[in-house]
Amino acid sequence: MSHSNTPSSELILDTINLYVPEVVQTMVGIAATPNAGNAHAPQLSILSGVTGSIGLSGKVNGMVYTAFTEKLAKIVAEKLLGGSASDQDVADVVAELTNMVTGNLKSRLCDLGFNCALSIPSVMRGDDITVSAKNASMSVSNTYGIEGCSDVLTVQVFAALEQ
Amino acid sequence: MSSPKILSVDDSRMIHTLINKGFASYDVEMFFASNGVEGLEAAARVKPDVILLDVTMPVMDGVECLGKLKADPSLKDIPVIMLTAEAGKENVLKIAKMGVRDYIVKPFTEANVIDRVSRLVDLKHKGPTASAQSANPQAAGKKVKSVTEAIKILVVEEFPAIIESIKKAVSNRGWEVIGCASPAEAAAHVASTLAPENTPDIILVSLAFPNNAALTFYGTIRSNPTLRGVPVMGLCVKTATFEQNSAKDTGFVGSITKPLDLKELPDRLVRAMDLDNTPLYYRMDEDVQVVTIPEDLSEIGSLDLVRYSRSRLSGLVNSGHNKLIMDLTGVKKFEVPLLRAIACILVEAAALDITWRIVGSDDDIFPLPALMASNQKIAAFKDIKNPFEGSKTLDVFPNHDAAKKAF
Repeated sequence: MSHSNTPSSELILDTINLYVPEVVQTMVGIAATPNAGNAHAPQLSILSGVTGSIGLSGKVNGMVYTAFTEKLAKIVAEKLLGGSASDQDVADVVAELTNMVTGNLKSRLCDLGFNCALSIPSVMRGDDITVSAKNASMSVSNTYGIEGCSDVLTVQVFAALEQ
Repeated sequence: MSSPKILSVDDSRMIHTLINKGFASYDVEMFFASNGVEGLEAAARVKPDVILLDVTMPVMDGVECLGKLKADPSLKDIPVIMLTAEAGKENVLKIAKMGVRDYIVKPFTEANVIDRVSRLVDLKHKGPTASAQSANPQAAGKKVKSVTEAIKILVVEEFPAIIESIKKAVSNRGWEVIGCASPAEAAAHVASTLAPENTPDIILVSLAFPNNAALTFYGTIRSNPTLRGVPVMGLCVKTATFEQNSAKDTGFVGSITKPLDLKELPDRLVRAMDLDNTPLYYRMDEDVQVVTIPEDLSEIGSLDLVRYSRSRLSGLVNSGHNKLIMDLTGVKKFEVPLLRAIACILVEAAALDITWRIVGSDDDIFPLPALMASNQKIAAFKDIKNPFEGSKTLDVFPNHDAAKKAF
């Protein structure tokens, strides 16, 4: 899909749909298939399981969340590390995969002239965690079917261009 | 000569684990640091041959760490490879100006990292070659065996079905598999067959024997001068991480997990024994070098083929030849390992001014340029040039004679 030179919700959705499957396929060796996604998702989003988050600040400000169910996070971590994974291992894997998706999104934004810095990833665990960003002009969400697992990976991006 | 030292500076334990796994079968010393400050301290202490440096880290990030490395006269010459998910033009230009030797974009494959590091340091596999160098200086630098020579595999495994699976997996290589049901039986076997021609080239031992019997057996093997250089690998289920780690700490060159991946197993053994796998794929046809690559090339087979092809192709040019036929007869499906091997070999050939032709079925080969172009976007192909770039059509020859006439 072609886009103008200003980051839009559609561009963010296309970008995460490109990089989430690439990151999961390359690092974990399993296919991640994007669903339709929502380029104009509600500003309140409810996430569950093991969720990685990274902030963007600069010409684009926002947050990227990747939410794995506990079961999916464990499967991914064990497959990636080639053995059993402790809770700390699982958190570390979720943080790094979030970093790879967000880093590639940042690169895309930077190439359009919207430079920004990334925060260090953090990971939260728990069900029904409500995340929102009142001032975000863009709210993008999608789920990804993971090969060999009935659970889905959810990615939520909130973003706003610097005024 | 001492083993190359590699320092990985990254705040992610996952990255350390993956890098450590990737280099497990190589004779290298690995060092790890979790941020720029620790990285500088480790670099000053260890004086590594190469540094793998993450960008986004707490305490001190990779860019600041790189700046300090380059400002220190005692550290500035250490080559640095940046590992970053932030590959935007501005970021890449910034780190390039600071003197970074190379960069790897995340997500990355094991093959990406090993390939980049191998351009900066001489990577050698663990196993007979490395051990033989210390035990027998005359043998230094010489390969003990090639993949097409007679290879003996000793398998110490309680379950006959596993031994049979291994026999089946290596049957088309003509290798001999000797099965022993216990470490005691294996110890008796090796004690009775110590003539050099009977010595196994590799030993696979189940890690499931009680009372750490596999580790004790390893000690027996290593105390025998004849067997000192023979690589030993573990056999276990994937979740037996404690056993795998104990084996690795003891000196095993790696572990093969069950269920066995029979397609990949021969290539893993080739790597553990440090055999040159190019005789499987390369042969001379008069003055033309022919490389025949199978459709089912594994990931490890692809990586080793690419690595050994460099010296094979430069040897071709050194000997006064410059023609290469890539024979893809019978190939109908192009998986990533095969595509990567084709790309790397043809790009290397072009760099050496070797003229190449492709042989195969036109109907099966014609999508190759398009497949190569579409795969350029995936991580396994990052930084690998497309050998067909700029050419809209690909000349495919039905047989070697036709290809030779076209040179």
